[in-house]
This record gives sequence, C-alpha cells and structure tokens, in this order.
Amino acid sequence: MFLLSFAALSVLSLTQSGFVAQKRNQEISRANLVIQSVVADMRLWAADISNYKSNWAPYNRTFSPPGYPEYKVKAQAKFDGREIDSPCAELETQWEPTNRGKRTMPNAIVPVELTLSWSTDAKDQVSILTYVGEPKRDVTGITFKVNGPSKPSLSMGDLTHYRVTAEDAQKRPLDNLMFQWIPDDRYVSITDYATRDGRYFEIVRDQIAAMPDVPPPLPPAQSPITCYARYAGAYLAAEGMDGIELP
Amino acid sequence: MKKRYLQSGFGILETLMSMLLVGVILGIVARGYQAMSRLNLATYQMSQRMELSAFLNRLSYEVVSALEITTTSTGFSFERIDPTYNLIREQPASSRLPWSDGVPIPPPLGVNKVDLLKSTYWVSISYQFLPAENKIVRTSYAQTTDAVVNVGQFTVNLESGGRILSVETRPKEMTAPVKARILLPVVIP
Repeated sequence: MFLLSFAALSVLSLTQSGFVAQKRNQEISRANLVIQSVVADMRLWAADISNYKSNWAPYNRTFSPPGYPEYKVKAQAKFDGREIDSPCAELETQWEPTNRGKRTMPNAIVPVELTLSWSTDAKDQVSILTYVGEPKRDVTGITFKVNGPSKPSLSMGDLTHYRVTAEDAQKRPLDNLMFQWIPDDRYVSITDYATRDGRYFEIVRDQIAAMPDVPPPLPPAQSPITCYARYAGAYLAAEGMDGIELP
Repeated sequence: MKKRYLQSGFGILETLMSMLLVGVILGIVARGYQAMSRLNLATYQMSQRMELSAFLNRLSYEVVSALEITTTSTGFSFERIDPTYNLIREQPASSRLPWSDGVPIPPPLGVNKVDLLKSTYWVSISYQFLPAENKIVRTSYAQTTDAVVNVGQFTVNLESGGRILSVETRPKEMTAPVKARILLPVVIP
C-alpha cells in the first residue's frame, strides 16, 4: 500500500512538472504571436516616412499591446539609425582602406528591441531585436543641393571638388541616396579622393589631347559636369549644375 | 501463579489504527487522482492551444509573401510567386516532384528572364474552415490537406487598408481564442 501510494504520488509529481513546463511553452508560444502582432503594427507605422524620421516615441516606452492588457512591451528604438553598406558589407570591405571608401547608406535601418513580459518574474519574457528599413521614398519634387565647384576655373593640374545632397519635396534629407558623376574625360580625370557613394566628387585637369601632326583641340570655355542619382529604378538628374571653366 | 499466553492476531486498537492509516492514504491518493484529472484536462487544452499557435506561426511565414489576398466568411485565399518556380524550370515533369503532371505550368523554354509579378507565375493558396468537420484545410496545387484539426472557430479580417491580416481561431469546446496579426509587406493594394 505504501509502495503504491509512493508510486501514485511520484506520478502525480511528474505530471505536474510536465504540466508546468508545457504551460511555460504555451506562454512563450502565445507571447511569440503577440510580439509578432506588435512588430506588424510597428512596421506599418514606420512605413510612413514622417514616422520613420521621427524620434520613435511610440516605440521608446513601455505599453500594453491593444487587445492584450495582460502583457507589457518594453520597446527601445535607436531612432538615429544604423548604417549598412551597399550592396553588402562583404563586398564593400575591400574599399574600406582606400580613399574612395565604402558605399554606405548612413540611415538605412532602425534597430528596435522589444521585450514582452507577462509577469513580474524576470524569466517570463520574450525579447527580439528587429531592424526596420527606411520606407520607399517619394522622389517627386526632389531637390539636389550641390556645393561646388570649389574652384570654378581649372588650369592644367588644378583640382576642384563638389559635394551633393538631396531632399524630398518636404525638405527631408534623402541620406541614403548615392550619386554618379559624369565629367568630360577628354580634359579632366576623377581623382582617387572622389568617394564611391558620389557624395564627394573631385576631379583634376590633367588630360592633354594632343595628336601627332594635328593641332590639339581647343577645350570649351565651360566643360559640363553631370550628376544624377538612381533610385527605385529611376534616374534623377541634378538640374542646374555648374560646369568648370577650362582657360 | 498466573499463566502467561502469547498474543496473536490484531487487537481492536491495531485494526483501528490500520484503517485510519489506510483511509488517510486513500484520501491522499484520491485527491491526487482528482488533481491529475484536472491536470490532464488542462494539459489537453494547452496542447490544443499550442497546436493552433504553431498553425498560426506556420501561416504567418507563408502568408507574409502574399501579393493578393481575399477573405471569405470561412477563411481566405492568397496569391504568391510560385516558390517551386526555379525547381520546375530546372527539372520540369520530374518524378522527384509531387506535381509531375504539369501543374503548375513552367515558363516557356528559352526565356531566361521573366516578370515574376505576372500572375502566370503565381500560385493560389487557400485556408478554409470546415465547421462540420471542425478543421481548417489548406488547398494549393489542386491538393487539399488538413492544416489543423479540432477547430471551433476561424475568423480572418483585413486591417489597415489590407496591410495587416488578423486571424482569430479557437479550439473546439473552448472559448478563449488564439490570435495573430500578420503584416503583409508585399501585398499589391
């Protein structure tokens, strides 16, 4: 009788242990669905560029998700953003030691850490770290801010440079945009200090067009410089760019 | 001189004590049995919920790539780029594939670059609740399989202009639902 009782109580104890473990699994499983719902709401909210560019106040606080009052979510968003390399860090690392540098998108993603808890016990929580990418920008009415040329008139061996940034129609910077430059390479060369992201462009007048028995062609008074950005499959040209004088 | 006899058998006191002990032990075991019955029921209910949670997680991974989605009173269906596209292109009508009888249609030969956003290269998947059978079935490639069984309710709604799919389901004979809200990042409005 005592042995049977001991066996019965042991089975009961084991069953209860299994139950507690299964209950915890259920809580974690349910918490995963709840946190997924929070992430869905957050990504939808961040799809509006005004929200994405804000201080992320709704996701830098502790709150209960709508419909789940028994849960608490502690959200921390690093709204100043993180940079990522384009097309990828693996390829861009090779350019790091050079003056031309990596092609980097400085505010491409916002890291957000979400911790969902369902009791005051520290182990009753689920944490995730997720990255929210910048939404597709509306480039209608884009404006380029071109600073340059630093030296408008280039004699042989002279250097000049440009810097360019862009803003959308609401004057919000398009930080992650990269630019391409086209100089007239009959007269000038791009230096090794022109960055690969196109935000800084430097040229030197070093080309001498001289052919045997033919007088060298006269360079034009003003050599054009073209700059454009490519975004979402469209070419966006910087209008009103000042060229360089070639005396 | 008084003669002494050896005692044998149980006295009334021993019998009463034995019965008391047996009663206490049986009481404990009976309480334990009751507790175990409750635990069994609770474990069963938790298993049901966890099965539905796992189902909703699987559903989330699948529906996140929906390009078009349509909800009905008994479930929903969605279109996505056929995930077997490359496999079919490399080895059409192979016996390795479960759909070797030409479903879905591979792209024309010699075409190396196709617009995958054309509906020709999409596959339709549907999840429908069968109330009479208490189960949710999944249909794709003209094949219907049980997605999850012992279901009492399956409600699907689109929120936020069709960008979030809200799914609510509950096990049969239970009232508290299991819910999921899924962002549809590539759905075509």
